[in-house]
Amino acid sequence: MSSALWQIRARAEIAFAHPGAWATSAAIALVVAFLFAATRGAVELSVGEVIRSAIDSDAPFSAVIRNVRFPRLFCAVLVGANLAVAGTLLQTTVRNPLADPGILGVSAGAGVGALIMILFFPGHSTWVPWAAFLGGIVSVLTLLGLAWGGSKGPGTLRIVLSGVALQAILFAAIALMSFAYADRAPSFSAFMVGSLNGLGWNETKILFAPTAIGLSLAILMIPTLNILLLDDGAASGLGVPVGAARLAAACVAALLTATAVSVAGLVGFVGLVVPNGMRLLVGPDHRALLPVTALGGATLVVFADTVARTSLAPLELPVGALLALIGGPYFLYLLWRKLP
Amino acid sequence: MSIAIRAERLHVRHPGIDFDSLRDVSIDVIQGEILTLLGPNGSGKSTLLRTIGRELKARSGAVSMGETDLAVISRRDLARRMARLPQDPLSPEGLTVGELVEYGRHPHRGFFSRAEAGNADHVTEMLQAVEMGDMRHRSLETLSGGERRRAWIAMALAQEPEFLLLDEPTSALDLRHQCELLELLTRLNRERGTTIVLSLHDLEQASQIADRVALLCRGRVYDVGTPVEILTEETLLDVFRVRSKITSWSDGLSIHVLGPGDPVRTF
Repeated sequence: MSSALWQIRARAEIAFAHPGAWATSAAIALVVAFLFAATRGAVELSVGEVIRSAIDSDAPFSAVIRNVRFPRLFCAVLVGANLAVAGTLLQTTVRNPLADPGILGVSAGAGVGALIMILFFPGHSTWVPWAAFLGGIVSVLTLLGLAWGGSKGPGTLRIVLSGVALQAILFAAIALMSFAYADRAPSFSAFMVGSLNGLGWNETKILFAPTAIGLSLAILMIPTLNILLLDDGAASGLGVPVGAARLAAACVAALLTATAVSVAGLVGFVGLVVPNGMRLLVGPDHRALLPVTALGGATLVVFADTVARTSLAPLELPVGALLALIGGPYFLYLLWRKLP
Repeated sequence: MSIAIRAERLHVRHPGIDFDSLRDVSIDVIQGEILTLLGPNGSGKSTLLRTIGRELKARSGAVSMGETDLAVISRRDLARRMARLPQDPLSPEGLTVGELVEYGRHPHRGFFSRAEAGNADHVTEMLQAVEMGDMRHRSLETLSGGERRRAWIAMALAQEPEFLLLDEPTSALDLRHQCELLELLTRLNRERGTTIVLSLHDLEQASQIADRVALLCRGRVYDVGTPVEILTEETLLDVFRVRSKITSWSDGLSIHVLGPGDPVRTF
């Protein structure tokens, strides 16, 4: 199965000989998905009308496009890119394709941090991502400690099980806070599954700074991330301080996850499905993988959220549920393939 | 004849083990030579290589490179001067040969500049040196064991090291690939002047490739010298506890092992 896919990759490499070709295709896919998504909803528009409404404030549906659909779509783009890049970083950090911010409990940790901020320090919404970041960092460090705690390196089973245990504890904390402060907490079920319902420019603004910082750090780390793909001995032989580099990558992953979680709740599986899928196309080298993953994650969430809000309209489904429907089986497939 | 690396009175202990894997080991590596470490299993060959490569810290004693203590050289400077090849390095799924070799340039790249590091000609040259010029776009897991080992050597070469440390580079390779690999190392040594320290299990191969051999036994250096000096019937009995018949040829030794034997003197 996988060797057949590598064959496809080898062939695709000839067609996409130019290094930027994959990234360009992914960018085009994102723009197309974005425009298509903007046409869907209670009022069905053409792409032309969407563009006109975006440019001209006197166009008939300008308010819908500018104040409702665009901000939500921007949120989807940022959330998707963040989670997908966070997944890539975690997979490289623990050198395991099963790593995902949701599965490893990093999202849940960020969720605890975000909830504490929302419940106990209301009115400071721009600080929510940073509180979530703290929660994410604590959980990612706990996880690395648990996974590396023994004498041997971290096995697949050990990492996944540590994540499961950690997540159970953090979910309990989220549940307790949500029910104890039901009047102030965001909807528990929407938060747990992950949803973009009702997000606007305010949330986009909250997302922007931490996303920009997180993605820039990830880009700066690309050469080091590539070396981390190698054996520990080989990596340190190439002059990379392996432990410190791992820690740094995990912290950037926590920041990106936390940013997404603080507005969208625990959206899962984007960080699992997108990097693993893209790796089959462009290979594990982060110079190609990271941009394509970011764009692919954005596209996936834009697409999934459009399905979530239009398929049973006027009912809006949480996007996280749809993503789990795709991601869950994919996780099982990876687990089945990787475990002896 | 100048001494490139000097290890003095090394005592090395692996974490969680209550005895020293190297005991009072002193050894000099001469600039431009091929030094082969030989010895039975558990004699400390890998430990010595990893200590010289600064992967392991000595409990006491020191390794110095030229005039400098190895411990004070920065990680990056060390990576520019010394390349080491682990015994069976893990190959990331889907990584191509070209990408792997490019990673060898990592120690030479600046924080923001990529021009110096990502030199495509350089990668081509290294791949040609290991005769893999046409395999640049192949992913590592589609290669044979011998090809993969050569790809890793190309990565080490891309570091442009003065010193190359290899831990049993011929293990798990078939005869043909073993020959090719040893030939490649000899060529690198002659053409580039790379100083090579490697461990081997095969004594005859060692006698062909090495300028000098160091025979290790139970964490100590038994003796160091040219293959003909060191690999004798008596030392084989002492160190490997086998009776043997050794014939010397112009290009190496042939060693006929007769059977297990009892050491004349205990070491």
